[in-house]
Amino acid sequence: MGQYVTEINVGGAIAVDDTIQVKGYETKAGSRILEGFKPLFSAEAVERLEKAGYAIAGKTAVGEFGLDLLGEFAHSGAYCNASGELRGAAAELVAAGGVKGALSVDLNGAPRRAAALSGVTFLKPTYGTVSRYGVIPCACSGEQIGVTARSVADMRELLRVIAGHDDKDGTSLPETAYEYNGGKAVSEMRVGVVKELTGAASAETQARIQERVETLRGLGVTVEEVSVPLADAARTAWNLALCAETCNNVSRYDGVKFGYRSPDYRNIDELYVNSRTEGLNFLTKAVILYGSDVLSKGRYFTCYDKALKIRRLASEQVKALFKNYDALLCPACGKTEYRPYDIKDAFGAVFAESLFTAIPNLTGVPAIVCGGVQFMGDALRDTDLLNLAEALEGGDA
Amino acid sequence: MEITRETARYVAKLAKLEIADEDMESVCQGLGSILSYMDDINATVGADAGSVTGGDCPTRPDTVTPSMNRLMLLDNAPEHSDETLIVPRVVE
Amino acid sequence: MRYEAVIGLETHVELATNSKIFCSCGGHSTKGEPNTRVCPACAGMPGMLPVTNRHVVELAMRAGILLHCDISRYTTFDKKSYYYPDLPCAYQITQWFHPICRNGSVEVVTKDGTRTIGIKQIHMEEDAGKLVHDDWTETTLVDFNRTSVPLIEIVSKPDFRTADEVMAYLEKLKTMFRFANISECEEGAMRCDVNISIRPEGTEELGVRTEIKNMSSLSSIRRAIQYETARHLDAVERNTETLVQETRRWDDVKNRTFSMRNKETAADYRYFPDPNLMPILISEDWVQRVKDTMPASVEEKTAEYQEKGLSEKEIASLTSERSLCDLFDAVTALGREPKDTASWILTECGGILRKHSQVMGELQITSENLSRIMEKVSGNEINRAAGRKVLEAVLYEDADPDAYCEAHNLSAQGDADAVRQVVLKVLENTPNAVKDYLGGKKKAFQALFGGCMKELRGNGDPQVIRALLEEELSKLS
Repeated sequence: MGQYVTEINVGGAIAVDDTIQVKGYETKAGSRILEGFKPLFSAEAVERLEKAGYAIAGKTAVGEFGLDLLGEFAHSGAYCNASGELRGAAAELVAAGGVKGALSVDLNGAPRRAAALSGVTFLKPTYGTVSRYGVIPCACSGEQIGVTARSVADMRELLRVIAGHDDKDGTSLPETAYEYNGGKAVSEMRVGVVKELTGAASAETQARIQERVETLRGLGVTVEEVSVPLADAARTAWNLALCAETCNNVSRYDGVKFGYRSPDYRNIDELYVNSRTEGLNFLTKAVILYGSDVLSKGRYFTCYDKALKIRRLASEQVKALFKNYDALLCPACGKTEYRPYDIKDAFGAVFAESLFTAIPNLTGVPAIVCGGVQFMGDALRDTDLLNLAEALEGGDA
Repeated sequence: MEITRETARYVAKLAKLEIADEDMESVCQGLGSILSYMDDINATVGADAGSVTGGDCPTRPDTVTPSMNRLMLLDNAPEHSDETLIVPRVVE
Repeated sequence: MRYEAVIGLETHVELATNSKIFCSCGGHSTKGEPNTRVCPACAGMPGMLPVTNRHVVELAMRAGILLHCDISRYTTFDKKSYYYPDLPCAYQITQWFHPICRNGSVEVVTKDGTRTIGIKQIHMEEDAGKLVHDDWTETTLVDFNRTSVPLIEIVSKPDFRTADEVMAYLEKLKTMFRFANISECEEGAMRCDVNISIRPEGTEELGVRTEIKNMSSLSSIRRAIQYETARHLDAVERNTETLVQETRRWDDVKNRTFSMRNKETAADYRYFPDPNLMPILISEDWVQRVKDTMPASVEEKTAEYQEKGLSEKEIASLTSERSLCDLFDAVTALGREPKDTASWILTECGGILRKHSQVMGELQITSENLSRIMEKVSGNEINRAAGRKVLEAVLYEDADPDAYCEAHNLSAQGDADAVRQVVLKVLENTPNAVKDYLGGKKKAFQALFGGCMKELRGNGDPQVIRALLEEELSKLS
């Protein structure tokens, strides 16, 4: 069952990204190195959906290990729409009404970008509220399963099912269930527009932010410009942590236990090197090499440990803002249109775009994308973000 | 920041990867650029900033649950016998 | 010039837990068919997340308390990356930045006196799998049963000067850990890496250091230390070779060490904290609870048994195994007399185990059963020889003491009346012997006595039989 789901219409069914395991489905995480890998169990989030009566429609394509911008570097080929634009397989499927919702792993902002470009809603929940059990792991300290849906009502419904403590995930928060109801009334909210991030986006994107600001003001929301001076540092720190952790996590793909083994080897070292060299794409290799470097002798304390320090400082910085603001508004991506490009440029491209998405991954706070823009909220105040998105949904309609 | 090919080859060896000569240039560049960003950050973040975050690790009781059927392990493996995975002979 | 050896030890000890350190597979290195104690987590499959076995943390704390260490209030698990087919994730979860115990010490006694060996740290980690090399097919077979079995690694300071001290230290750790139920310390469950250098006596600076990896038998460790020390001396004094800092392997057959340079050209393990395992915060309360629930030490047990009047020898034997102390304590708690209990465990059980080529550590009997047998003997329900017989049946046939006595008519044989019946039967059945005896041939008594013993299947009390025989014979004369 290696086929991805693209256009079936199964109404209430849920699509699952190829970086999340579903028992019985070959799970490749978009990579040749996992060819033929049959997971022995389903991810906790998938299991909960199935128990609650939702059908799994199938897997949706991702770029190798979800490391790219929008699924452009999958082993099976880039996932583009008819006009050659990249919008992310899951988000397009949800936008087209093929499924009720989709589960994706937010590793470096890909599903947020996809939602912004496809005009659907995606929530990266607070770190630790949805179990990561069953996620093909890359950067465990900040990756998180999130939900793509067409409406906030669907989003709340699906989140209620998948969120809540899981003994099998040691970073899972203790709360057994989340209601995603109540929260703050939008008319009483204060929203800060992050100037460092908005200023870095294209004119078109900035105009869209401005439109949303007007809509929010119309809803009675107080909107002000705010500054997150560490935004740039947070992006570097997250990419660094991501490289290091991914390097470590994908080291298990070595041609011994499962997945791809090179036919060409004379000894164990060649088996390792050839299987990995043939099985992984250039972007993954670049990530691995950078990660290997920042963890290697002499660099740990100047690089990885520094990234951990920035994580703490950036957390403090946004925490301070959340004392005065209920949400921070910024773009989810820098442009409004993306097309396939050379893989040699991939690391730089993702690094550049992750400026807009890194803070939630680095610090664990929730982020929602709706109406083509992004809101970040304080930890465990996902409901307030949903309220905001719902209000905008109404405003748009 | 300058990253030499030697450094790139060293980390590739650690990561069991081979980098083609024509890819070397862009690997070194990418690595250099991320490290130069790091330099900017080092200027911002003092050495005294703590990296320690809190959180108490949840633990589990010392109970045994059944292991998986061996066939499920072997089934996924590229090369195996009835009992074990097989790799080329490892020289001690 | 006189030289001294400077030796440090890294000792890996497999912990006595039910399950592995980060998953719930049965955690024991030597049990089970290959790859039958494996789940997706310990087979390195993606998607599983490690969750720490609380008992592992507590056993590591126990070890730290016994070795007088500071128990860290904040301790972390870190990942160590390297490729080897026995390591399914290509990383090992260990403790690098914040180990659970630091700064301990232990006293070792050798014929040259007592010395204190410093303990640098104790940390927790997961074991790797097992590889079997097949020369015929030029392949290596991989078994993951042992992956993720919990270990502690005890890192000593370079405080040893002789192989004798190292032996005494390892023996002491073994006794201590077995006794505190930290590890069963059986064959292969304790493995050592030995660091060696030499320097002129009285100087401080360390010489070139070599490390001999992964030895599990005490005799190999001793011979490896002796060989390596001599090699260093030759190199320094007679310029036989130039020493380099390196990892070496002990060859038990060739009786020498070999360089392992090929294997580890660049030991750059790229340690970093495991994001899936949050730091463990150890409160004062938790340490206290571990202390309070810690099994009594050898010293404490020795003092307790001295008070109960046991001999030095008995105490030494009982305290050689935690399980023997537990049995002794349980049987005396049931009201049996301490001296008698020690004798039943050590002499009677010990004798029977020896007969079956087993050692004391393998003794398995419930305190209830042993107490019941002792009660029957001390209450003269059966004699001691019969008691031994019941004991053997309980040990090797899983018999119930009461049922066994009844089925084998043992209880009756303690009873003089029943023995008298046997005696009379023998006298009646062997008239010739009776005639000989009465005619003055005293040797004939032995034949009659033997007849009785045979009839009683060896279970009669010889003194009782003798007395009854004499009594009945005198009636006939």
